Amino acid sequence: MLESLGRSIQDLRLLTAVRESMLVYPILLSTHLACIATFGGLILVTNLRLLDWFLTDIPATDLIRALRPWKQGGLAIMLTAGVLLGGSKAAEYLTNPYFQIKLVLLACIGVHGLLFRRSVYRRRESPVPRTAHFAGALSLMLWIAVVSMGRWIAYYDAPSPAEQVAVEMVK
Amino acid sequence: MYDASNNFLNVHEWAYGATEVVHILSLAVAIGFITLIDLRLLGFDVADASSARLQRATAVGSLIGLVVAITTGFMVFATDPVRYFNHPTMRFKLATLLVAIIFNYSIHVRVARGDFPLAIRRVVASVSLLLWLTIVFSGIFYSFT
Repeated sequence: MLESLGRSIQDLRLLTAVRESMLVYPILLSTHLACIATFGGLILVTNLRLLDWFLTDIPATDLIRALRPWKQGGLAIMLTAGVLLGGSKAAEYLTNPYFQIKLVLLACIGVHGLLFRRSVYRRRESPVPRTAHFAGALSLMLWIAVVSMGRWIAYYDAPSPAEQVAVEMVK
Repeated sequence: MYDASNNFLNVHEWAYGATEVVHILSLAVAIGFITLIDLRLLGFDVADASSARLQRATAVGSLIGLVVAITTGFMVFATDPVRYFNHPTMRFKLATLLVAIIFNYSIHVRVARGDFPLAIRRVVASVSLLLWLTIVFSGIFYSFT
């Protein structure tokens, strides 16, 4: 089911073009990584501040507000590149367990942002230290896990058709 | 004579992947911290903090990030040293890395901590971002060229 869905996604003309281009694919992948390095680094800065590990003389609220447009812009570029990369190999990716975990983790990050929106990220006054520490630690762990799973996608060997037949026969 | 086939990362695939993950995470730490300073040098507001304040707060972190990224990079390099060393894209990446490190610890640090006109600060931030992004791009392009 997932594989046929993936196949119809990756057969879209745009995604076929991405997959077959010698240049577009590495450019998108580099852009994806460059966004992790620069804007992902800014996510780290926010989280370290929430954890009170550095820049404690600067109000967390001010730092979050100053970095927000950069992180949002970076996230938009990172997601666009990621969707094009994943979409161009959707049949392979949607059936890859590490990619599936990555999608779940990204959803968790979305929920995390909404959950702490009022108490931390959009709060006018300084967040309660305990809440800020918790939000920062959780965000840091989720992002580290997302980046790790992203790299681990390449390490999954899909079972060959012969192996699949064997599995079916055992069942 | 060094025999890469006995290299730990070649024998254990999980270790190879784990090394790559640490490489990506640590380069994000280093480049992310430097990006924060560069945003300030370019003239954007970072919660009223001076570039000197940001540089001092991130100096240790970005140094650790760089050391870990270079160490893990070398670990991957050692799995197939002849191929990596002879590859023009990898040579370009290593040369750019050398330039970026020298630039960062001579000019970038000094300008972030000192009192320089905005034009100079902007040029230094642009060169810094360009150098680090070139390194990321050539790291990826290496496996496609």
